[in-house]
Amino acid sequence: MDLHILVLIGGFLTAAGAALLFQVPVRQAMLCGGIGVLASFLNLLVSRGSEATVLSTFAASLLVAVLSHAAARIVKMPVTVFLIPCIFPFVPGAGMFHIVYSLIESRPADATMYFFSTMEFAGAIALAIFTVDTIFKKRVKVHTKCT
Amino acid sequence: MQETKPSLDVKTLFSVTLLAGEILLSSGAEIYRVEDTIHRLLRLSGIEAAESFVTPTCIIMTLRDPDSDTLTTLRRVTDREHNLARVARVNKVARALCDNKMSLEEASGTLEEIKQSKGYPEWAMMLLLFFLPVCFYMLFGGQDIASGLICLVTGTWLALIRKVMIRTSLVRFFHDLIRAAGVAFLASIMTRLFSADSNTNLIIISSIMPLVPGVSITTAIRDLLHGDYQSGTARGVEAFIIATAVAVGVGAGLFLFRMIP
Repeated sequence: MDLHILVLIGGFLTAAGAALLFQVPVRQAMLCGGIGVLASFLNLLVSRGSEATVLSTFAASLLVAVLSHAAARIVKMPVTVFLIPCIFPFVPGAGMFHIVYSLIESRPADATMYFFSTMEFAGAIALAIFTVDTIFKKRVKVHTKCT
Repeated sequence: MQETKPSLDVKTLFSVTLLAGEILLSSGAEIYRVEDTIHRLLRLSGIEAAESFVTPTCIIMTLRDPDSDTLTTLRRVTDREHNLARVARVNKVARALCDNKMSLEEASGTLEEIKQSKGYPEWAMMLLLFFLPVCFYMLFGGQDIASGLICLVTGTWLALIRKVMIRTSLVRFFHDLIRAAGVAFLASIMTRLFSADSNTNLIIISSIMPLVPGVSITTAIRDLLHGDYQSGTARGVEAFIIATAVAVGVGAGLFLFRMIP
């Protein structure tokens, strides 16, 4: 159980690191790290401590999107600043690797299987961002009247 | 609200708007944000007939003034890098302009300064790339210290190759390919040489994470949501190309490793 702490630390460092890689100012990058910790915690919780599943990725992305929108409202910065770095750790890089690896090992059936599972992960992330964006878009139209 | 500023210089407003749009687009903002910003700024002139059309590589905007000429311009945006700090700062300037808290001259100066701003120094970027594979390794549940050290080696490769790649004007595709190939090769060979029981696959996955097209995917999704199908698909294809490059690179690296007897 205590080894899960490492995962949470990883969640903080990857989100904050990605933020810095995209030139986000240090203070906001720390905020990204915080979102990263919460998201990886939810990811662990839903997947019951094992490898990430489509459902856990969806849940984590949903949380990331909601928190990013909230953070953007609070510090008055574009959502992109938080959304991009925090989604970064959940991009299905592992799936991509397994597709190639299976091909190299001459196991085309496995490659196809991994291709579809990677698509599922990407779809889960997309759906999560879609959903939250739509909800917040409605709210913005009601509340703000710039120009 | 717009009628209070009839003396607003339309031509200056036009060029300031173009500059703002250009910085936004070249820093990796979503198309929706660029168009929205251009629209809001052009509306400050009090002229309703303001239109803009933005794709990932160019901005076309026009202001139809019934009393004088129509202003139209096209700006190609070729070099793009992801700099979210610029997006945030331009957004701030645009807000200030909309709320009449900033004059056009001030805005123009600030935007020029944003355009020139450099961001974090190169050594900081290299340090980040050095540590990111280990961070991803931890995130993916890796606990083995030896593997963590191998991640540091692949991180060193990522950091060093970044410096070399910046100097050479190689196509982005090969850029990603070479980086991924080096990672896969190094990870495999280090595992064989030093710690036979570490999880090579996990090391490679962690090390290619900084290369995967996370930004393109996220932006493509959000563009598609806002109905910008053109840029959404364009960025989707961009993401796919980068992903292919990384995948082919990993394949090449592993293949090279297998060639060693």
